[in-house]
Amino acid sequence: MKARSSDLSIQLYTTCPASSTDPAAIQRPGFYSEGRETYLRKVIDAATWSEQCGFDGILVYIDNSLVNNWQIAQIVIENTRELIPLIATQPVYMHPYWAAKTIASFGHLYGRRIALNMLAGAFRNDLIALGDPTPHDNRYDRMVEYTQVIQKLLDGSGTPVTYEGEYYRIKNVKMHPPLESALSPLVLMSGSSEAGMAAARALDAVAVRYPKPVDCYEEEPLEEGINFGLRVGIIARDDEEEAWEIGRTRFEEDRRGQLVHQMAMKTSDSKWHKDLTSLDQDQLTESYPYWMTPFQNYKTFCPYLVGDYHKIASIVARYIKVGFRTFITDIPSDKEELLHQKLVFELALKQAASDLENAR
Amino acid sequence: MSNDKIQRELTQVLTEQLGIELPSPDTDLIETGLLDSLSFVEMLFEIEQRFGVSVEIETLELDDLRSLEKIGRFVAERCT
Repeated sequence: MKARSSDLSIQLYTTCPASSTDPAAIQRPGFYSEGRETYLRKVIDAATWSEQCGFDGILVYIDNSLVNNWQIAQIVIENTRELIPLIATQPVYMHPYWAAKTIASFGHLYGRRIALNMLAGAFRNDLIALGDPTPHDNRYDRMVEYTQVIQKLLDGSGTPVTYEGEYYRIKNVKMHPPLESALSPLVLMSGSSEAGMAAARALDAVAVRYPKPVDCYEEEPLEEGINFGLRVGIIARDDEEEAWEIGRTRFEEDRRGQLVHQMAMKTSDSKWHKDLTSLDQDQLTESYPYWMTPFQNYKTFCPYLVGDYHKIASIVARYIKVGFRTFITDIPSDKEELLHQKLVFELALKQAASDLENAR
Repeated sequence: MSNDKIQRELTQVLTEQLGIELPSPDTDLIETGLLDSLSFVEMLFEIEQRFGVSVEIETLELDDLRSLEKIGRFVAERCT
């Protein structure tokens, strides 16, 4: 999305509905236990709505409990014209050569660019279950190597690649089918810890964060030379009370969910998880209406901004002004939800462009 | 509520709600893999509902809940 009167632009992603096939799993909005046509329809709907509402891409999650997200990405590609699947990629799941091969195959078959949301850890229990005890910072080192192998194989040069790393080694590997350089994947990754920031620098990746209140970034500016993104849920309406009513109906308090959240917190070594959990609802002010209930009840993994269009747009505009250029919103409940979000981002972009122009 | 009665009710929870048959009251539920993280949470939820106690996972010691015997003691201490 680009501002009309300036060069300022932002990248917008939504999130794809997810599968939930464990009968003991917590009920979460946007997670579906039914397979086949039901789940496929949800994926196709979310993808087509996202494209129709001007979003650039759609995040497709992965963890041990979900359907293979590369196959979901293919469904997204086949049912949209330009939408970019942002594919969460866990190095433990497959060799980087095979990830690169799959990306090259998407390019060959569909001419579509994809984006990678590189995961260094996510759910530690998932890694332990797969026999991978690699410590936090080493997982970032491994993720950097993994992504570099993919980037080298898909740089469009067509030359054989040799890579000698600590975790991955390939020798004289040529990618077939070749991928034209314009389709080389975008790279995004979680970037809250120092290891995460170092990885973002090494890969020229978009460092995606779960937001602190925006005044934190105004007081302590983001590092220059790195592209930053934000993962945040948004419920906005013309009337603030209507927005809250929708939010409270969608994300009801759930004691089971609270227990799972606390359990995840106890076993996680993720900095963002701890940072977000330490944000106390009572400390948040009226001007930063973060709503943590969905996160604290294990309904989703991001805080929510809830309110009227102008209030939410003015907050988003401040995030844009401090340097965030990529936004990933939560799983949409329907197309209307995305139209409301589109309006917020249009207003925010206009305000940010105007404020930045006036500041010159 | 006596420890015996608590253990009987807990056995019912494990068997009927979670489909777990316990070899003995001192079987380590975690070490043996009988309880995964989701069924562990489900068990805590049922403990809260049935015995009216509140569980704070942040301050919880996993060792206090490894066996039926230990869970019984944990609940009994909070019921009084």
